[in-house]
Amino acid sequence: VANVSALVDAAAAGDQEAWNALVARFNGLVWSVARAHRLSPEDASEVVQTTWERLVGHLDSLKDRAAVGAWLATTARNECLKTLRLSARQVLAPPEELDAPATDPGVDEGLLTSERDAALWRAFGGLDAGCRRLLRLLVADPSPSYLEISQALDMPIGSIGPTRARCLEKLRQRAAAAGLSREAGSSIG
Amino acid sequence: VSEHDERGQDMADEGEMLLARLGTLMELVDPAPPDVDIAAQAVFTARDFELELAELLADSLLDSEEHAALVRAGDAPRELSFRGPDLRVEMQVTARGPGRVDLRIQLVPPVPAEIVVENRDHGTQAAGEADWTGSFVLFDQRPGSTRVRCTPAEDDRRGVRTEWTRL
Repeated sequence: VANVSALVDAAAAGDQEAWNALVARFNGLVWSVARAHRLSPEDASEVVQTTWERLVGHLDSLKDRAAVGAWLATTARNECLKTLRLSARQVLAPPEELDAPATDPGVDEGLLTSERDAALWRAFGGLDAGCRRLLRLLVADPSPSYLEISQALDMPIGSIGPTRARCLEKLRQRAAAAGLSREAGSSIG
Repeated sequence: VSEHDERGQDMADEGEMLLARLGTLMELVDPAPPDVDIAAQAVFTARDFELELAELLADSLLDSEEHAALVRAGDAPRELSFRGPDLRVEMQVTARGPGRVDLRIQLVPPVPAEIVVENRDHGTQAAGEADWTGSFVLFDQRPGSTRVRCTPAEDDRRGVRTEWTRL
């Protein structure tokens, strides 16, 4: 992994390659933050762009350049909350729309061709919103740090490990209930 | 190691495997789309050395539920405030009818400036000039993701572009 603060320095000096490397390193995280907040792909794209635009404006003034990922996560989270509040206030949503759907908007589940994958996806979709958000962030590519996750979800770093374990156990139970366990004579993966 | 511990470890391992598999699925069904990566790179390419970013500081629709109710009812304009290093941009958005809004822009401090209002949803832009009172009005616009670029007529003050904001 390239030294992140060196990339920020180089980008601040005008190096497009360094900027692209930052995008490659962190765009998965920023996208996941938006999707973990259940924004539509369109709104998520807008949040991602706004977040990077803000970084351009702050390249010179970032206090902790090594923590640019956490800065991006915080900024993305704030933008998500703004977008959610705006869409709730611009239109009066009918009550049924206030109940979140079991699966996330804009996910192409048709790509899950195997029954096992579809079952795992359903098990994930059946988790509570807090667990879905955390797991969505944990599987971001490249993998975010706990500091970044903490900023993205406004959650104390110390609670991430225990919550992760609790959510994985719930996922495992749901998967087992769907017949996706080693006891059922199948291997995962 | 007791049988109980072993079973606990097995379950934890299984959870980790499920998480890894979930990661693979997520890459398949919900990756950051390539055009989102490209747009993030282009933000840097298109950065504006002339104009400073004016960040959204206040939005009456976001900041007050009471005001939001008035805005929705068409009884009050939405008021937005963007702050740049040398210049603030105040914007009032008034609903004009279905799918149309009027924009009133006030620069603070009031300075004459060239103003461009861009709408990226519709790929349109409208240009004009704020006079010495620093105000500019644009009637009958389509709402959508909008930003304002302001270039003061005199050189002693840096111009600004607001963040994209959904109207």
